Amino acid sequence: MYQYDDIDKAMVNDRVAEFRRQVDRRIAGDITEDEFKPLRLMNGLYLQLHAYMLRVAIPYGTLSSDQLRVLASIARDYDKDYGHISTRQNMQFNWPKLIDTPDILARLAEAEMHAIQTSGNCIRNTTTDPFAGAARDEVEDPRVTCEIIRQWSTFHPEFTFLPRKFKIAVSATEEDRAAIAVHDIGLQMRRNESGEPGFKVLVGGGQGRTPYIAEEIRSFLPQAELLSYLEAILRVYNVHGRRDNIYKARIKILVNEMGIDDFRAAVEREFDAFRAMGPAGSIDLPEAERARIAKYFAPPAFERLPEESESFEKAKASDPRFAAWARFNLHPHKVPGYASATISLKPNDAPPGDISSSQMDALADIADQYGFSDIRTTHEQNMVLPHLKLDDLYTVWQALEGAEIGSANAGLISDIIACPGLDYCNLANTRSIPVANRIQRRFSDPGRQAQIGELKIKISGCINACGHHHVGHIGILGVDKKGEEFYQLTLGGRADEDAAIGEVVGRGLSTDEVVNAVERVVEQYLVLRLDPDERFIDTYRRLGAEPFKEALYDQAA
Amino acid sequence: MIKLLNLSDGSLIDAPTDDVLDLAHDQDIMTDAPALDGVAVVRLVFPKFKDGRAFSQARVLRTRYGFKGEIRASGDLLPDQAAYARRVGIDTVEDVNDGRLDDFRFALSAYRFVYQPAEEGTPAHRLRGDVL
Repeated sequence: MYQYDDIDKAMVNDRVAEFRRQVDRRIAGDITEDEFKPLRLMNGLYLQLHAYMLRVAIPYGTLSSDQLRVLASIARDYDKDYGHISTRQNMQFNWPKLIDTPDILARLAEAEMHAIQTSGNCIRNTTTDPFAGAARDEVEDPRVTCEIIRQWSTFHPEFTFLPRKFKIAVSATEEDRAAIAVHDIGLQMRRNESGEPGFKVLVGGGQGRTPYIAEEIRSFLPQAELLSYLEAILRVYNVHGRRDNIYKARIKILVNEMGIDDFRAAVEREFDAFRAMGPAGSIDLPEAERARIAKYFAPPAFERLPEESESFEKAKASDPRFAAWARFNLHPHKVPGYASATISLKPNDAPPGDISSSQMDALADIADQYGFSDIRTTHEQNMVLPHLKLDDLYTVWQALEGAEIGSANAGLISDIIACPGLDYCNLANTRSIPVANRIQRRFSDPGRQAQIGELKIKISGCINACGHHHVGHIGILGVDKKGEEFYQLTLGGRADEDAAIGEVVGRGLSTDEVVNAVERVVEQYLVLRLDPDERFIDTYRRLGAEPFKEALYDQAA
Repeated sequence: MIKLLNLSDGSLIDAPTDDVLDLAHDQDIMTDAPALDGVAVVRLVFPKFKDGRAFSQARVLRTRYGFKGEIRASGDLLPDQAAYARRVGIDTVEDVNDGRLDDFRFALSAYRFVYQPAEEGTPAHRLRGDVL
């Protein structure tokens, strides 16, 4: 992974010193809360319902084991002994004190980490495939591009006071595991006919109150011109994006109001202006610097191993619980004899995405011993060990089980994305975590979960959609009606390469009804599917919402 | 005499008596070129510190139109934005509250390095040994 040089280190250390002074000014009353707010937000510090929340950046979801131990120490020393993985692959701490935050940032800086631009109306953490660098189907490692974007977007002088937040995601595979179509900018790495590297560029996707699937703005952008093209998009957005209404300020609204063709024309004009400045005026990254960064993402020293592992097969045959984990939580690796494993942070009856200090330490130890010290966070609020030998998997799983992070439910109905909801958030209308837990409990039988197969439930406690309900196969949106919590179901949403916004089905359901409703939808799917290989989302695509609505209302009436 | 904060060194200077061309914060100078002939000073405005349009205007003035005169910021610029302003090509800030001079000066020297090329500052990659 990327290692800081003296410049990168100076950058985060200077940030700590600056923030320490900003906190002092705030405590002394030299600046107002209104002025302090954007400054603290750009350091990831929110004021939540009960306390401050600090969001630490995990650039493109990549962590070393030592960095994870530092996060564990922060959870232990400054929080209530746990951290929470966010849908931008970051880690949030829910209980830090304002006065402690500069010290927390200093501890992060020592470990080459930061909380820069994890909030605020600026370019946020770039997200990508958690299996980057390991996935069998990738064109190349997307993290090189992500790190380039991280550096370019850090304290960008022109684009740090945008109309609204700005999120970029990069995918290097046809199967999109980075949800690029619901991002302000989505980049899909590809090669053109001559084999040159570049990107398909999507723009204007997003969730929130007004969800949009991104549109293609360019079918091929040469890799070397990435930054000037990004600047062209950002400039058009900075100048033309709406600032009169916070709910209409995202780039998706601008793209929609201008129309993709006019928007594209405006971007191309800016892009041409960058090109006209020639090499001397270019803001693109020189090839030598790309190569320097790429070096850090060279693959680790994999062994030459057979495609199959005898001990792995034997363990699966003798231990059905391990076999279930291996079936659902593994992802194909590009190197024979290896696999990537999803570490589920979705056990029953715990807030989705939470991980305790001791679990972080345990995972770090496992990564050191078996996984090249490489750890990832996922936008689905899990973690990943990207490089594991098949021969080691049984031992690894037992160690994970020992730390209670061995749940065999990746991608299954209990692997739920949920926002923090009313338990933490001052924007939320309803609670999310208890609903997730009740669904998990209803489907707690592992055999039943396995029978249902891949099914992504996503829960948001308000229309800001932080729980990604718009792209849940089953989405659940919490709404407040006269002081009572109601839940609105959407069906058929997806964040993959066939991204779609889920369709709203029917009236809001009470807290008591919502789990039954989910179960009826699932039971109907089991009746309707052609065979066990037809996933819920495939059945939905084949038949549409109608048969599911019928199931909902027949019995809800 | 109006005092200006000079972003290059944090000093206070007297405003020159040249005529000033005011650009509104919502003027789209990407599409409509401003009349810059004979203009010595362009004044940009931050109606609220959160409104970053003037950052783009400054940069377009420098790169697209090759404007070499003074670019002055007015309005609600926070001290913490001073280095950003300097980097996009803004030279001076109008009406700085005396009580905030130290904060402005701190912000101007808060960072030793910058990552991206802009109107001011050597990007990290060039210091890392890249030769143009």
